[in-house]
Amino acid sequence: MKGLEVDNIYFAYGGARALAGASLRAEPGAIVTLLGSNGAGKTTTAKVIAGALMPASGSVSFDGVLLSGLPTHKVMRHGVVLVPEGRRVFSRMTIQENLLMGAYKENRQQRVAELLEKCFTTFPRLKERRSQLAGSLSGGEQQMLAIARGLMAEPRLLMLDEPSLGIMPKLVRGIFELIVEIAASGVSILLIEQNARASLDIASYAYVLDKGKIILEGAGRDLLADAFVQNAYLGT
Amino acid sequence: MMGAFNKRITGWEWLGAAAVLILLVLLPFVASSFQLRLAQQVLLFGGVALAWSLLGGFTQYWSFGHAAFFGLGAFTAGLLAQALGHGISGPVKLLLGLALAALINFAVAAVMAMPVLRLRGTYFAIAMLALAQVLGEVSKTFDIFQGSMGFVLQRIAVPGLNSVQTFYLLFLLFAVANVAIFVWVKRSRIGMGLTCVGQDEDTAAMLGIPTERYKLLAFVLSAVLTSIGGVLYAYSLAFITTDTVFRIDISLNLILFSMVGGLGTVAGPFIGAAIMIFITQVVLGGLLHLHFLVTGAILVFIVIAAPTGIIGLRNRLPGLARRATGSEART
Repeated sequence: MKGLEVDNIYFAYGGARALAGASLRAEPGAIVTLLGSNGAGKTTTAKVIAGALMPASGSVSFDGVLLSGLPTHKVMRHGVVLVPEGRRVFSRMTIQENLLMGAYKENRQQRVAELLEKCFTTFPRLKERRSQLAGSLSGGEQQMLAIARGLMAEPRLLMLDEPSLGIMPKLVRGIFELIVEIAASGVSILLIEQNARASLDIASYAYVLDKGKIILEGAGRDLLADAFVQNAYLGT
Repeated sequence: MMGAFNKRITGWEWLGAAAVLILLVLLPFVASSFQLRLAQQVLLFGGVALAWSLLGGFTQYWSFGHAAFFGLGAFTAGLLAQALGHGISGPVKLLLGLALAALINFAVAAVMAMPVLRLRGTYFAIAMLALAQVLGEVSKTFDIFQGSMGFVLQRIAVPGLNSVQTFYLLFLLFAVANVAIFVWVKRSRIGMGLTCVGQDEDTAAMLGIPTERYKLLAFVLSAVLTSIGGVLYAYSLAFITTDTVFRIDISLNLILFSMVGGLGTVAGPFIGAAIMIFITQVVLGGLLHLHFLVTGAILVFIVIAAPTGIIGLRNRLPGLARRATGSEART
């Protein structure tokens, strides 16, 4: 099968169970959003997919290749890239260095140059400031940099963990527009967001995670209209 | 395109390095014996501090126990020299000692890496501190290692040079080799990866950097080069015991020199070593009991006033100037 397939994964931090049989799918070019309250297991799901955590059981595969069991740095070589929560840019490196690190797996200098050029076309603001230290950017700009760094890895699945958290509302719209654009280029998106309304608006499919299990799933628009979702996550 | 990381080494930089090297080679023929002994220490311990930086400077895994490798190298050379007996010449013993020490430290570091590199921050620092203490105690306690009695090493001198000059030049060779290795690592993909590990290890792995393998590589290389320093030091003293090489102040000085000069830079450890050795042995030469007090005070001062070291200070000042002119342009 094309795209992401997560099957029945279990994971526990020490004795604390975080995932109890979560399963989900994401097709090429689809925006899939993962909703849930704090501690529901959203970030854990993303980390398990990225290989940063090993599931106790269950499997993760992408485009038919089994990924669970591979270390993180190998998982990303299959096109699965996580932009982690809290941005995590290398603050004592310049913006350009951060971007180049995104393309670390790419050995062909020519290709790296093309990727950087393309990236600067999408993010002209980063080009202006490319020799500045990443730590000197505002939160919103750092988020853009983190996404841009993720794109430098030429992902086929881009996972974004809370990309709008702590960002000025004015910039949040820009981030969501960017996500739609990235998906339109054929990249699958797994979006984890506390801003449930905005993410359901752009998502083609959505999952609701609770206590490590998927308790509800459906098309983004259907979930927007769902009474339970409205009550629990949209605050209406 | 990785040009942002490896700026090309300019002609001026090559010229500067060559000039410094020529001056350093000529030094033993003009300096007094006392001055040369100080210069010896700067080259040796600056070089070992640079070896420490291969791990600590890039990845921020601060080892507080590099004396473990230093001492292990010294003891390997000493015990080997004794086993070989008097039939073999000093220089041959030295070379064999270097080879065996490198081999043993390679093996020990590779085995130790598995448990200790899983630890982060303070836990790693303390594990390394413990390793140095344990090795020191073992060398002292078991009679076959002769750590408490010590052993004598054959004096080595090149014809035409005295022993101080000879070891000065050997330490210089050691320092130059370490500089070359450090610069090569820093400019390689591995160096870039290690630098990312130092900033955010988990994110580095997510970007496709094989963090575990690179850390292992840096740790082992750092250990082997440190042990080479230990062998040379042992031969320069010609008599060693546990207390002369498994010394906690050696471990701490490596960190101090790197910090004073500038962590992660090539020249930093040497500048730091020069400053600290000058202060403790020349300025305070008659006040030996004040060494630790002054060392501590300088460390506190550096951490507060110049966290990026002397070199960082130099880089920061033009930065401040640039920012100042930038704001003028805007107003």
